[in-house]
Amino acid sequence: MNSYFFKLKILSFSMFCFGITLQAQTKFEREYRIKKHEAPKAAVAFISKGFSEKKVKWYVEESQDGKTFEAKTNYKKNKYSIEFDTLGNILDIEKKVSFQSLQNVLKSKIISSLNSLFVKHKILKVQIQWKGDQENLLKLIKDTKKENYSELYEIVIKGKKQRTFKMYEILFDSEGKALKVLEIIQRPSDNLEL
Amino acid sequence: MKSVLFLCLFVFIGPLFYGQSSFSSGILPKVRVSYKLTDQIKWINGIESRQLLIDDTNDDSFNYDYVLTDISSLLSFRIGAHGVLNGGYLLRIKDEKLFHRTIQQYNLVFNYDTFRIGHRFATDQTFNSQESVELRGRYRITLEKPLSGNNIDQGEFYLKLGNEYIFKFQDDKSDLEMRVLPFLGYEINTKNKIEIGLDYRLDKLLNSGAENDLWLSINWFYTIKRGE
Repeated sequence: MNSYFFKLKILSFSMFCFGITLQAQTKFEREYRIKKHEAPKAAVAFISKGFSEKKVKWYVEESQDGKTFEAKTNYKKNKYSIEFDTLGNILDIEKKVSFQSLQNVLKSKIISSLNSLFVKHKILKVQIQWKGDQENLLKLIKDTKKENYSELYEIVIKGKKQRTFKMYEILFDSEGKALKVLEIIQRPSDNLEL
Repeated sequence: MKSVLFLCLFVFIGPLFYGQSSFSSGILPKVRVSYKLTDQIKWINGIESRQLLIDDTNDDSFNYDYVLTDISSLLSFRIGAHGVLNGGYLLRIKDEKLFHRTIQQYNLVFNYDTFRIGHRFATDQTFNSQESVELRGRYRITLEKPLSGNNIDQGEFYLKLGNEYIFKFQDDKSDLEMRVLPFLGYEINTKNKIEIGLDYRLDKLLNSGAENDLWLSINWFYTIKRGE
């Protein structure tokens, strides 16, 4: 879903009200570009309805969980990623925003949550994730009506838990509670170093 | 993005118009094996060889000539989310002589949505029984971009563009070398990647009689994890 980094292996641990559970997980993902006509028709129709931008890039993402389609575009100066299933049903919309643009109460809660998880941290990227039915999501994009949808926040940070900084992807709910923390394991960079 | 492309073109094509006083060319195969000891520490061994095919300073310009072999061993420490500190030793075998080089490198690798950029700051010292020590300071910037999608996945090609500046000091004389490195890479799997491309070197920039070297470079990077 998120294509920020190359996730070859991801150590996952989930945070729920009962505390922190550590579980190792190996994740396979492959993402590649496709042409518009290769995407499901329903997905193309949704993008035409919701986004006036002509420049839309289409991708396929394959993982052990299955295959999805993703459209990436800019709309009203924001970057959007819209994910669909193979039939073209919308799964979620991600909108890239600045952390500063979030509501002050939510910002404080997220910072507080990060402070409890990390000794030091720096926010690198924020995406708002919307889920809901097609009509409500269309209204949400157009800013006409905001109802019957769920909103989560996917935040990429550089954080230090013990001795060293690592990259993490954290999913927050609209109350600023961390739902999921993923450590991002980056591809070997030997070819950039040696 | 357009300005970045323009800058890349300027950096990569500009040197081709530099006065060419000598030119040599050949092949430069390289193998790097990284052994991941812990999450933070790697042991990297490499071998590299230069074979000359063209040298316009010789009467017979087109002639195969073995030049040298480099064998290196580096210990690599990950520092934080972006930094890597490497230190090690290189043994050069050239003209039946041995050269010893100590190497120190600091790398910064930054990931962006659709590409990543690596900065390498390095120093090295080369020793040999017949020559005085050569000291070098180096900086290299490298851009890596997938050719399909936003990420480099298994079985996908990518583009790698590098530009390096090397300041040299030996026998009270200093000089500058510039390198331009365009490569096509292929990610075979999470442990193996191969790259083929050009390694263009413009040497003796601070002195008269610049040297142009163009190598066809083939790199293989292999990563082993402890316990595998």
